[in-house]
Order: sequence, then C-alpha cells, then structure tokens
Amino acid sequence: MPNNREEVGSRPDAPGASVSEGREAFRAIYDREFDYVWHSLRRLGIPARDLPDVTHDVFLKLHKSLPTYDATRPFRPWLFGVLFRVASDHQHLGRNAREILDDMPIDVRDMSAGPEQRAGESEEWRIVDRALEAMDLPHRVVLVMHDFSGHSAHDVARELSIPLKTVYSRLRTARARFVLTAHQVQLRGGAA
Amino acid sequence: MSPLLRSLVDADNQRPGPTSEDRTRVYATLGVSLGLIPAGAVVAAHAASATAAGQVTATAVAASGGTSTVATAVGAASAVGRLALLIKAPLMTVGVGAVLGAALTAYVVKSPTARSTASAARKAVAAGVLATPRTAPAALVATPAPLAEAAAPEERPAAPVEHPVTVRTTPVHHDHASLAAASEAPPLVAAHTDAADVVRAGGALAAEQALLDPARAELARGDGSGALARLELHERRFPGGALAQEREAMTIRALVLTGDRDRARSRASTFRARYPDSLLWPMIKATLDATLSARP
Repeated sequence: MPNNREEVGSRPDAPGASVSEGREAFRAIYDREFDYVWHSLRRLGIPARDLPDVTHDVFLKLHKSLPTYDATRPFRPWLFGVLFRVASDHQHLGRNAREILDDMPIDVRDMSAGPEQRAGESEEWRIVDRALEAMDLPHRVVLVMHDFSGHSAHDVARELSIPLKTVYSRLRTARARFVLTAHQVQLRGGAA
Repeated sequence: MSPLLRSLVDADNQRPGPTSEDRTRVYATLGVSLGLIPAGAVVAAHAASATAAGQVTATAVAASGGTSTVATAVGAASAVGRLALLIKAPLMTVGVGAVLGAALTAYVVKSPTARSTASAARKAVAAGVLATPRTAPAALVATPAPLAEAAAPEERPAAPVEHPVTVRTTPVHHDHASLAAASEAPPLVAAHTDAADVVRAGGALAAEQALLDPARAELARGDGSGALARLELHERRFPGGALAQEREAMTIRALVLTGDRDRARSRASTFRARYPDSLLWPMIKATLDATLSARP
C-alpha cells in the first residue's frame, strides 16, 4: 500500500552506537519516515499549514523517544503511536483557534488549505477529508492506523494502549461512519 | 473493508506528499532544535525550488563563530511555522540578460553562547532581516551546500571567500521577536561567494532533488522497478552529483525490492569502496542485513 508499507531495514540501529552513528541512523529514519509521518498527520486532521511544524515536533519527540524503542516491535506502528500523541496535543491546543476561525469569513478560513491541496485536488481526496473530519479522534485514529496505514489490530491496540476488542469495535463504527459520510458527500457533489 | 472505503484509501495513497523543500526545511529546523547544527559554524545553505524564471530560494542555515559571515539577522528558528516569518528577499537581479532572482532567506544562530541545547534552540528567536544589496550583483551569504551536508551538519569554518560583497541589512519584519533580534544583529554583512555560482549550484541541486524525490516516493510504495528507472536517469544526468550517495543508497534499496540481490550486493560493495566513510552506509547495511542472509 503506498505511503504505508514498512520497508526493509526500517528499524533503527541498535543502541550503543556512537554519536555520529546515532546521527546517521536518525537521518536515515528521517529520510525514510518523513512522508509516512506527514501523511499520517494529515489523515489525523492536522491542517496543511501546520504540517511542517507538527512533523518537526514528531521527529523531535521521536529523537527523544528512540532510546525507549523496543526493537522487537515493528517500527512504524510504534512511530504512529509517537506521532499520534504529538498530533493529539496539537489538536487539543488548536481547538480554540478553530472555534475562532469558525466566526471568520469563508475566504479567510480557506487560506488554511495548502495550495498543493487545492490545486490538483481530486474529488476522492475531498471525500476522504470530509469523511475523516466527520469522525471523533478515537475512531479516526483507529481507522487511519488500521485501514489507511495498514497496521494490524494488535499493533493498533498495543501502540494506542487500548484493548483489542475496543480496536475492533471502534474500527467497525469508524468504517460505517466513514462510508456513510462518503456517500453523503458524493450525493452532494462533494460540497459537504 | 467496503469497496468504497478501499477505493478511497487507494485514492488517498496517491496524494502528493511533502515537497523536497518541506523535507529540507523541517530537517534544518530540527537540526537547530536538537543542537545538531551548532552555533559557530556556517553549516549549510540549501538552494531549492528553482522557478521557471530561474529564481532560487536559498535557505541558509548559517552561524557566525566570532568572525562574522553573518548575512542578516538572526536567531535559531525552532518550529518551521516560524520560518515562514523569515523574509524572502525580493528578486535581486544577478543574471545577464535574463532576470535571475535569488531570494535569500538566511537564518542565523545568534552567538556562540547560544551553542545550543535543544531547548535553547527552541527558545531562540527566529527573525528575519532583509538583506538589500547596495549594488546590483551578488548579495549572497553562504555557499550552498549539498543537501547531504544539511543532513549531516558538522561544525566547520565559514565558507571560503570568493567575492566579498558588503550588503546593507535593512530590518523589516513583522514579528515582535524580529525587532529585538534585529537590534542585536550586526549592521553590516560580509557576503561571500559568487551569486551565479549559487544560482547554478542551487539549480542543479534542485534538479537532482526533483529526480530523487519521486524515486523516494516509489521506494516508499514498494515500487522498486519504478524507482530504478528514475535513479538510472539521475545516474546518467548527475553521475557525480551532490546527491550521488543518496542515489546509490536508494538504488540498492530498489534492487533489493525488485529481488535483484546480487546486484544490490555488488552495488553496495562498490559504494563501500567509493565512500568508505559515508553517513549512509549504516542504512544500506541495514537494508542488506534485513533481506540478505550474508553481508556484502
């Protein structure tokens, strides 16, 4: 699956490496995971204008958290856990800002969309955005992690620290909501 | 998963990702935040995004270690959003005939005392001051370094002087922090290097990046053969390019993906021989170790 597949050699080097090796390893992780982090944050609802900032914060957090990474676990789900926590903080802080924005004229609000997202934005991408926006974060994160990023339910449960059966029930609900909203948006011609 | 959900997920996976400029800027900012980019060294200047008009935006991560090479102000940028307030200088005419604009964005770690812990870097003020050339040509500050250098910053002395040019800095901005920072900034700036070189190097680097970025995306999608085609194109056009090492590392990964272990292995041996101290070697080795039973 594009953007998502965990590549070969995707685990960081073992701890105990020298400083420069650690730096190289971090750089390698950065190169390999940048797109993954970016897309995951976007799917979790980080607005385009904030993606560079939040991506930066994720890698900062990752740098601090790497020593705690258990190399027997798959790397990407763990990374998703890291980026999800950063994204949650950001969204929590950003809620007030969005409420303020809601009172602003549409053209002001629209500036939040990045040009790259408005220019060749396909109808399907708009539908995905709307359908994800219609969901609360606990459901959204499970859907994104499982169906968009392709991680197993077990990995989702472990990295989000929720019971497996909760993962499944949220996934069911999230899929149903997603599809329902997607249909609605399609019926309205993407204007929802 | 319903067919609709499946098709929308597939469509979403085709969305464009971050640009190479996003990637480079975030890394540069991260370098400052993590203290990997030390104060006291001109670290890197990254030239990117050549437009049709030949405009080059150079983002210089520069610092003065006492002797000033500092172009403008000031301040270690932390979050990238704050970079946005850095001023992109209006076009400066450097070309003959054609207008070659070089918009220079320089942000500079303020002083050796700011030598930076992550928190110091984060707290440091990002600010921009517009560098206005007194005379037409060449108002550039730092030598553009290949991305690889931005990637693995090391302390190094200021860039070699080719054509020192003095530019006047004019405080401009916009941000509460910038005024304070600007007042601490040296009023005059010695800029080193020839503008045309910068534009040329920046253009080539941007062209290299433009070839490698899609290949990187294809690798991320697991499309080894698609990536190989692009990487071969890069090899033909830029055999000894600034990003040759990155190309080789990606090629080895692509070969592994296509199942061509023998070529991956021999390519890795060649890489090791040619770049014995490469920063990319651990990644290549990890790629091989993960998929091959024996090391190259």
